[in-house]
Amino acid sequence: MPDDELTDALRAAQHGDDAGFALLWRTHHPSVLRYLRVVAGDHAEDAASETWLHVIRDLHRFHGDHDNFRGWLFRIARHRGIDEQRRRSRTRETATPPTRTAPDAAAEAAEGAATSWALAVIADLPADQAEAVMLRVVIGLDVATTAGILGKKPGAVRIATMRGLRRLATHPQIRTREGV
Amino acid sequence: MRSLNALLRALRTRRNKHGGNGTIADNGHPGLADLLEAARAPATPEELAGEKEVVAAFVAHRRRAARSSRRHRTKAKIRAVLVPVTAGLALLVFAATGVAARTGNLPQEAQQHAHRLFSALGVPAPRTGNPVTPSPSPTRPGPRPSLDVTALTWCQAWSGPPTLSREDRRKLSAAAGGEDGIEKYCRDLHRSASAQPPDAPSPGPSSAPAPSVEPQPSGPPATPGPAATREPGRPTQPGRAPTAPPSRKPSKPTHTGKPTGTPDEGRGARPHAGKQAASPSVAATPAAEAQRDPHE
Repeated sequence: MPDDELTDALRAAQHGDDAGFALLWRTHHPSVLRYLRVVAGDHAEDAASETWLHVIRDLHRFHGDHDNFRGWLFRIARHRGIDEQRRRSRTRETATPPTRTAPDAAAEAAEGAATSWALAVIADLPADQAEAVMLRVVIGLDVATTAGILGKKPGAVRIATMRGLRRLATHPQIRTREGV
Repeated sequence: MRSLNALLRALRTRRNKHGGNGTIADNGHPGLADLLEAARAPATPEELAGEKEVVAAFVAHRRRAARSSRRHRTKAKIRAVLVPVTAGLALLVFAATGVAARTGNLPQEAQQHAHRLFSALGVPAPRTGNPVTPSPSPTRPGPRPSLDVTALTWCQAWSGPPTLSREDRRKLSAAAGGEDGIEKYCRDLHRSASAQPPDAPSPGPSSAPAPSVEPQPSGPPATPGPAATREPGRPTQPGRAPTAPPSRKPSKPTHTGKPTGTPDEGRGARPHAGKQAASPSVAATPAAEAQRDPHE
């Protein structure tokens, strides 16, 4: 999707056009949801809903082009994900760890299952590395935007990304896959 | 072999898509490339299932926002009209009060307040207590102001434990014609007060003992000038007019500050005084209060 088109959609949505908003949602919702699976685990759906409600509420106050919008969107998503996680872990002490959802490498058959598996493996990383890998490598944001979202220096983001990838490469399940 | 092909394909697509990022991710590690590819896979139908709900929420929010902004605008418009109108009304009332005070058309109490209020703004008070006279005479035809009740309360205070204020003491001594005369004056006063009930069956002639006060040497100071100006306004008792002015005149200068207050207050206490004169101690308290009020 060309950026210009999405910027137009953003402008339209800001002026109340639901088609423009729908386009933005279709473009970004999968990424938001996957990122939130890493941040908030099982509560990703709720956190994503909260994120979009927040976007709807504050869209008219947003200034910037589509790239800025992506950064803004994922910053909101991160906060909602962390909130959701905190809220759930407070209400339910025995919150299941996200690793539980990691399916066996052999069990994945459909595309969605492969995605779930990949996200579960990434979520196994230390939190800062997992988020850096998701935002930088999977979603493809640039270093500056990622640093803004995570509240870190660009250098720290680079290091976290590298360490995360290295760690993933040594992950036992990936090694198994390599051997297949 | 199959996996190698897949890996190569994955690497190629990632390089095309993400340029520099690919170099970190690839690392010559096929498993990692696969993993990242899986994480980046196109959206599944389940992931896009909630579109209708989200767009509906968007539309609802826009509608709500539009409505609230319209309401806000209406409110602002109402405020834009209401504020000047209220301010104008307030100004009008204020100005009208000022004019009424200037021309002396206010009721007694309000007139007093208005004088205090507007004198600061340079509006002079009306020349005489004239506006006072019309209002009391039609409503209260009976009681006539005179010194006796006031003086009685002074006498009470003078002899009893509730001490007499200096101002009242001065007035009392003036009425009695000197400090030495106070005792006799009060005795006379008490006598005339206890003699009053048979003379005064109704509030009307309640001022019967007044002549006994008035002949005193220096005249009653508590009913100053305005009492004289009121005389023409009471045609019902014309006979009293000639006697009052000469005795009251001398005390007038001492009360120029508040010409209208004292007589009116004193008169206000009169109807009770006429009925309760047999027990002056009862009448004393309200009368004393009424007397002191305007001077504070």
